[in-house]
Amino acid sequence: MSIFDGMRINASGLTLERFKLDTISTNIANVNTTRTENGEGPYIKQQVEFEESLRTQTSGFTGDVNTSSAGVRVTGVTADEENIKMVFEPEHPDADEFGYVAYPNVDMADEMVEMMTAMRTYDANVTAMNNNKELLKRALEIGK
Amino acid sequence: MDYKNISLLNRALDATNLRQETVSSNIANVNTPGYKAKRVEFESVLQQAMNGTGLRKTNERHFGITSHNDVTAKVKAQEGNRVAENGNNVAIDTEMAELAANSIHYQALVSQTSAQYNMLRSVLR
Amino acid sequence: MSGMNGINQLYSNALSEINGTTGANQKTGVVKGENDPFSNVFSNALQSLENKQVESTQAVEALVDGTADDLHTVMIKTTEAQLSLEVAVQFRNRALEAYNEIKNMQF
Repeated sequence: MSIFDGMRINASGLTLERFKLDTISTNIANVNTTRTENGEGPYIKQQVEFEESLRTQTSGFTGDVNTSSAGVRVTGVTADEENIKMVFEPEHPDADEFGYVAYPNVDMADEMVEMMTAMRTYDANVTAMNNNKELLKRALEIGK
Repeated sequence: MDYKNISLLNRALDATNLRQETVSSNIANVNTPGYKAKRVEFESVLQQAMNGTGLRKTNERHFGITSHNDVTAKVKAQEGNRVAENGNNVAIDTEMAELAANSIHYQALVSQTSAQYNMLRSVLR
Repeated sequence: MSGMNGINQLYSNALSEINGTTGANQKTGVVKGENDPFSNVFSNALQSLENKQVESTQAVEALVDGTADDLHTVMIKTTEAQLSLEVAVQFRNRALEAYNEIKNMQF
């Protein structure tokens, strides 16, 4: 626990939400992409995985082990291959021998909802950080 | 009356100033290809110097870090951030938080320094 | 906070001494003065001032090397040290004033 931990925790939240927004943008941009860079299959929806980030400190004097929060951290990005949409379009250049084209498993409504959630969470983190900042500024006025 | 507190605060103000410049340059280079975010290392070195685990000076021509006067802030490249496609690893939110935190830290140090001077002054009055 | 209490105690001691020397009521100020001479009172006050200064120095060090838990504690400790010092200076001034007054008395 140190003076600016609160702000750093919120900053980790901001970074996570921004990364989520980036990922959602990629998903939306590729909602109709039937071919990936390596030439195979449709685009697969990506999702950010994250977890609570904890920091353990061992006191040099007493040997006590302290666990405090360090916010959140990204653990990785997963691609979920379920629900790939097969559409019958024989004249499509990426159609298979039966005339079916594999479309990405990106659901526009889902992405929109996730985007709203990420935006609101980002706002909340900004508010929390500003409050933290004001609190510290008030503390500076002690003794004036 | 020694001026240990004031000189310590001076060191810290120098480091905070350097950190402000570093964060500013990180923010300015948020889109520069290949740029790596920079961090100022000061507190950890100072802690070692103050609790006696710093570098011992065994030769006149060596640098030793045994008192807070030997501690200087160093700029290091940040590791472990997400690297974008253009090789840039600056996280703008983290930098903004650092900027705000650093400016408050600077204000705190300034008010502590002026408190130290005021104490000296009040004895003289 | 104990330092502040020390100064409070110092005030009440000084008050009771003054009351004792006026001899208005039952308070045996002279006896108390023997147990607790003015120099003791003064050195106690100086000791509590010194404690405050040490606490504030530690708080400043914690602020500088990043081990401080919160900002308000640092600010409060420094403010207390500042106030204690002011009180001590004022106390010295008053004591000097009193001494000068007694010195200039016409017998």
